[in-house]
Amino acid sequence: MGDILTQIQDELDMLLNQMQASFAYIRNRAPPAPIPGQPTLTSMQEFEASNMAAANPSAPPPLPSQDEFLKDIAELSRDMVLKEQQLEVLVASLPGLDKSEAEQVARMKELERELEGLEGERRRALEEKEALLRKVEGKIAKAGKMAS
Amino acid sequence: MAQPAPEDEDVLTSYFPNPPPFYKHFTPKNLAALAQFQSAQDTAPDTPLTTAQLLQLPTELRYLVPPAPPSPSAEYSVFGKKTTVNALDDYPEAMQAIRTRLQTHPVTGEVVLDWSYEQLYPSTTSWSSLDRQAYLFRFLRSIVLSYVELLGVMAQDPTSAAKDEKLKDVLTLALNMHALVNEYRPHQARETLIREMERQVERKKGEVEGVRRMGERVREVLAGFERGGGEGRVEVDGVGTEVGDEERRTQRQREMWGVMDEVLGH
Repeated sequence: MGDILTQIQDELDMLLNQMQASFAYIRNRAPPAPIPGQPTLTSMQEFEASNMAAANPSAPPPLPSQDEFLKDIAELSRDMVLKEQQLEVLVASLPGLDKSEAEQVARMKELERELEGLEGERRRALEEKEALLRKVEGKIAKAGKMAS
Repeated sequence: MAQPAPEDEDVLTSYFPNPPPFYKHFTPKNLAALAQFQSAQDTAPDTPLTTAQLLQLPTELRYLVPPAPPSPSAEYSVFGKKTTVNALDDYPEAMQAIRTRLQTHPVTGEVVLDWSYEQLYPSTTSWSSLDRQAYLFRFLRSIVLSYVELLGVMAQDPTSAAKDEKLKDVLTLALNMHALVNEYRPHQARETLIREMERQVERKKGEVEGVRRMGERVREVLAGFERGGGEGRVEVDGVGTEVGDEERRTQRQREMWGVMDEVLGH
């Protein structure tokens, strides 16, 4: 279990960032809408932009076409929905929702007692291990004497 | 301060400055000696020693007596400026002044960025009376909904006042979520502690169990070794050593070494 709370906050900020970014995208990159009943000719601005792009490769890329724009919008929306789902999953897996503070404290006390008991047991086990080690060493020494 | 050059080099190369050299005098023996001296002088441990008493002490014990705190009017220099101990007493007020100055616009005097917000959930003192998860879900979905509404408003009229209202809604909701999450932090910390303790319990249980199992095996093998070893020796003494017995002995020794590895390497 990682730090879910920080993750929630980070993802929330990210979601807000995405919202801002898609607004900025719509504002800056939306292609002009064609007027119904009028022939769609290349406007002066578009003509200049294409000329500029040809003359100067470092100029910003030309505006996306209507289809590209819609595709980008769909992608941005999908990312945003994904982020929102991510947040929902995070909120759903918040730790210890069903426990009150008193219950938590009681559980901690219980675990502490258990740990203390186990520590004594562990120390006894370690002593036992040492005794075994000495025993085995004694055997080996005896066997070595016998052999020599 | 009259340190030789190598000492200075040491200070420069280590990441943190070295502790003052007299820290080595703070041994239990010296502390006991100082306590003994103080009781011999009939002074309470709290009262400071007089200069004459200090001079009676051996040099290494003198370091154990802390110097008197500086008087409020004593000056010391910070970044080349003289200052006194009490000069920082107005620190909170100074910080508050800086804060308000940063928050207000330099020309119009309006509050530029105000982090105060409307609290959308009831504030309670007890933990369980508030369903934080439900509120978080609610706020999150409201944010998305407000965003869609904001999109609609912008499509209709990018300059309308409704846009600002919607923006403020999103901000309020987001700030509420942040506040709720932050209130959750102590709870999560306790929960993390509980999990860590549970893990420790598991680990210690495993350790004890491992030692027990190993002990049983060692005893088993030792018992087998004693029996088999006795027989083996008899056969070694006797000239006619059988190959089968020899193999069995090697096998037993191998087992023994395995157990030894386990014991020593555990």
